[in-house]
Amino acid sequence: MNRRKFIGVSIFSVVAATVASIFIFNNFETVALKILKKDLATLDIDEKAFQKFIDDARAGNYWKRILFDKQKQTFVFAFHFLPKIGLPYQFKYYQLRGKIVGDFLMATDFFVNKMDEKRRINYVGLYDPYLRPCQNPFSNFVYPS
Amino acid sequence: MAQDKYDLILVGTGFASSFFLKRFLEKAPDTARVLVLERGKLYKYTDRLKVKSGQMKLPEEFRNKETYKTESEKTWTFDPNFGGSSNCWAGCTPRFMPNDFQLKSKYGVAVDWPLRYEEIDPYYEQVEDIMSISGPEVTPFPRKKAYPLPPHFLSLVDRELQKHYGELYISQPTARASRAVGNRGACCSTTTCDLCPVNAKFTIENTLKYLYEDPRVTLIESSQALALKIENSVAKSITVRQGGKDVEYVGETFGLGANPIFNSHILLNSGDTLEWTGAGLSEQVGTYARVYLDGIDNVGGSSLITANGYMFYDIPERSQYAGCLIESNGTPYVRNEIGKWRKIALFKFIFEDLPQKENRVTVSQDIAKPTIVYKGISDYAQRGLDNLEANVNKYFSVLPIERMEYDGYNQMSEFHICGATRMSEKPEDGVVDKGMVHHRYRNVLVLGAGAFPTVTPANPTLTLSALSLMSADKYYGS
Repeated sequence: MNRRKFIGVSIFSVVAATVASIFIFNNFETVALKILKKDLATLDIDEKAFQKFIDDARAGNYWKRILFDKQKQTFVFAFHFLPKIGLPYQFKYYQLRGKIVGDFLMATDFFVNKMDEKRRINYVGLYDPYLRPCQNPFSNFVYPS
Repeated sequence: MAQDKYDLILVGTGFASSFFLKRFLEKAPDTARVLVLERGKLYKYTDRLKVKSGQMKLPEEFRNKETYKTESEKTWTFDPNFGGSSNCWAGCTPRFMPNDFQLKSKYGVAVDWPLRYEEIDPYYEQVEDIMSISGPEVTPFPRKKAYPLPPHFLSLVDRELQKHYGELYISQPTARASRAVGNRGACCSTTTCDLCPVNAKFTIENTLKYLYEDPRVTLIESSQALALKIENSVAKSITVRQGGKDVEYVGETFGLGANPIFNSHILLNSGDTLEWTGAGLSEQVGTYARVYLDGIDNVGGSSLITANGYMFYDIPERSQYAGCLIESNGTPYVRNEIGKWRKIALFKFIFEDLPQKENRVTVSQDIAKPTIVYKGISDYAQRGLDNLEANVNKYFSVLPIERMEYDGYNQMSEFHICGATRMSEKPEDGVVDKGMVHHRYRNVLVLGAGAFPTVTPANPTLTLSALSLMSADKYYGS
């Protein structure tokens, strides 16, 4: 094996091992968890709340119910590990990422407390308009004119 | 097997049929006999709630089944059960603008409707009363009296836009009740209006179900109408599939109140050879944009769609490109940035389309399943989409905007199936006259939005319901 071939095989092996490890050690849920921890790092939230949200979502078939289907989950999963510069559909990734974060926060008392970022944020339970209707935290009920 | 003769045989139990039936029953004697054929069944509101909240599995009979064939990616959405799409609609009820009925004479585009705003105006008022519409005092379309219920609240962002555009930016007129009324609760802004958790939205089930309990009415569910039997241009009977068997019912008058796909399919199955029968199937084109705001929280609105914007709906450029209705979205979406969670607004831009003859309903090998041929939207609608950014830049510059984000693609469905049995003065140009009576078969009424010769930016339900009342008045005498 000459030097050029050796370098080529080595690079390929490293890339293949990295990709394989991504698929072995990650799935949509682990990615969602990473997103929540990173994007909400400056807020006062017990980290157990993130896992509780992920677990509740799985148990309640939440992602399917809110039409965050496998296609969207795969998109978020794949995009998460790609370098973002120059890729098309970045805005869609950030929209879906925002949806995950927003839905987590909707499952807490953050919005009910009018987005007070200094206050401790408590997990309440998955936002389900059919179990808890009339809870839109941005409506005139919370912000009367 | 021929059976007793009915005075009226109606197909479907959605908006088009129910409003026609309401007016008919108000006029008809005690001896009148009406048969209503519903392809689906009553899927009760209470059961729908249980399914949505996970307390009950979706019954097999209500699972999605293929009802039509198509090779197009475009979807056509409806609820083929008792009450039709009143079960899944969002309850948006703006009237059409007067110029919507006169696109040709005002803008040189497509065709005029054979009726004018002034003719339908009293029927708009009646439907608004029946549906207990919540709406604002001032609207861009003329009205003679106040809406039955007070309007929903505008958000802070909406209020900024209304400050600049006045009657061109209003609280959306809606069948999502702002106060409890009849069997309906008051809307509390949950924003899951396809199935309202507090039953605030008008549905046939919560308000007009009594029509189907009238002793003059026989309702038969699980019965799909297939074809009319025509003799000498007079419809004599209707063939219906019930539990795998085809049954025939004889009637004096027939009202087709299924959606435009199935109304036109029934006519095609009946041997209707009018040039426009099945042709011009269309609906509006919708696309979303997000506005990232600087220093203003988008809060305080009520209901799903807090406002309608008319800033580039009925403008001189409508002679060049499609008009657009704007919807301000009140769902609890957020912006994923610390400190800016609700400094975002989501708008939907809904463009009118011109029915294209090549987009059509055709018969297939299966008499119960139409084939839909859909080639795409008109150039006119596309030019409207092409001008979206320029118009948003022009009309939204009054807001403190950090940046805009356009979806850049159109929604697969606007949930508003129109065309395929269009209204015209002459049979060469359409299928029904302005009273919704078939040009050739004068004892057949073809109800619903299939009659729309042009597809306006505004939601069609209020108008198609008003047309049903008007049709019954014209046919049976006021």
